[in-house]
Amino acid sequence: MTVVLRSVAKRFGGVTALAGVDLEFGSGVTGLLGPNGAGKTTLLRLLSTALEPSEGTVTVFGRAAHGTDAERTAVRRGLGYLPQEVAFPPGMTVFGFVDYIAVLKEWTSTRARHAEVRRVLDVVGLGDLATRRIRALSGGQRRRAALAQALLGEPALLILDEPTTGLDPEQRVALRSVLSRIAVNATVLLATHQTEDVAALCDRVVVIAAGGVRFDGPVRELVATAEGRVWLCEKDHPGAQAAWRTGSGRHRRVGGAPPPEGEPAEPTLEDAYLLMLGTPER
Amino acid sequence: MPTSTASPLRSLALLEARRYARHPLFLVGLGLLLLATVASALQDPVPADLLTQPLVPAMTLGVFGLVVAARLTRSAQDSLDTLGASPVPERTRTAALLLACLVPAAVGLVWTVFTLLWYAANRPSPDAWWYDTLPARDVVGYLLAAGAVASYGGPVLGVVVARWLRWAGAPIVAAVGLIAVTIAGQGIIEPLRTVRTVMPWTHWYGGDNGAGADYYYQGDPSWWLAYTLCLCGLGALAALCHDRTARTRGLVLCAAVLAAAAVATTTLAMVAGPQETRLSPATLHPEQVG
Repeated sequence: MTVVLRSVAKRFGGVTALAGVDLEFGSGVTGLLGPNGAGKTTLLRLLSTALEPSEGTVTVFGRAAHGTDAERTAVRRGLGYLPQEVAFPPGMTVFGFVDYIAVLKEWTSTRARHAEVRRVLDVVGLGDLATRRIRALSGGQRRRAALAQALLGEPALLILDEPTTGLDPEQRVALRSVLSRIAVNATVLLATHQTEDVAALCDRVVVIAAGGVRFDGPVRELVATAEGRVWLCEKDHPGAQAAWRTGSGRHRRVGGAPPPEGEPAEPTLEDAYLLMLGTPER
Repeated sequence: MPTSTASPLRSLALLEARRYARHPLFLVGLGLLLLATVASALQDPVPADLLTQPLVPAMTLGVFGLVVAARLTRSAQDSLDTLGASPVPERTRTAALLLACLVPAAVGLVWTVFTLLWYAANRPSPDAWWYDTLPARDVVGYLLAAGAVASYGGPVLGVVVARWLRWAGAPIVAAVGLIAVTIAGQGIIEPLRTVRTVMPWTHWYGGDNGAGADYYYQGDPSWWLAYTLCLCGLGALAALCHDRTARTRGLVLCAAVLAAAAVATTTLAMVAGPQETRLSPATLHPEQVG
């Protein structure tokens, strides 16, 4: 296993962000789903060695991620991390930024480094904008510049926090294609609110809520938990965990009692996720 | 994965030096220095107060450099804080920034060499404290310390401030504080004249140029040059020490040796050399010296 977490807890003062987390991740893409404040970002920052756990152990590539300096450095050499928000150094071009991060990832040969920077910029579709200043980019383009630095060196562990935020549908599909290629040989952890990204890309999904793991298994198993609990009906009925009017004019009803004239519908990952979180009945 | 096992220090220092050289505040300082130097050379071909001139690079490269270096240090750290941890340790990143501070130091050195050569070829007023009226060692020592070394010391202090003080206004407060302390400790205030060599920057010259009373203060500028170099070394070690993994016995020993050397050299700067304030040559100021 690339990543092993044992009894991991993380507290910030009196606030517990994670408690009693036991997880293992191997190669392939794993989706982390959870509401805001569930502990996803804390979990990813623990794996990236940016934070230390209050309790428990995190092992990456067989080394203690928060052990000796040598162990921590060895872990850092093998990972790529895309945080939710990136503070770009002012005045840098896209190429300059990724080149700077490449040096901080120990790419010391200028020729090899520049070739690698060009490669990752092409992967994220920013090859043509390499000389543009970051402050002149759109939000989605900045997101892709940040993603490019995470892809440097084809890391064995790729940690992505909300990678598709700000991307248009075409870019999201392109990103899925990139990640699925990388995941053949690497471990990719993908924290997101976008259940469709998880459904399209991930073999496995982990649902995190209130600092704990609520579900860990194949995506289809999570979807199966919603079998027989989703309906399409002509009218809105109270008592559902979630319900909305679809584009066809019919109402999609998730959870609650079966509606009188309801027609069972094929559940999606989103339906299962909503049911898993136990959205209050309406 | 990276293709070379060489230390990233060289690559990182080159990138940081490029960032430094392109920083808007450094370019403003450089422009002001060029303007002041050219204007001085053209408008005052027979100057009488050459020993005040290092004030210009000390301000435009040194004090401005404090802010530039602090901003470069903080912006890189802010990026890393969000991007997770780099395998390159903080001590290497700090060392790269300290090497990048050689950019303003190099400009300060070029300015010093230019000034020494320019006024060797274009002789200043015969009564000015310069080659003819002072030992060349003192002239060179003072200009190197107050010009070139100050252009390095200010940015080094900026790295120290950015590493140890997290609040955003710290570099500006440090710059203002540095100026205030330096002004307060100048030899203009007579009781402080002897001990002024503990300052990171000081005048060796004063007086009312209009009346022709040009004073040369006591002490030895060559020892003061050594003292300012010790301060730069101590500043670099203080910045490196922020990384707990850098706090080795060798580094502590190095800091102790430098601190002892700083105390020794500033004391020698006080007690060596002439111990009285001297007026510039009598032949040109008969009204002052009777």
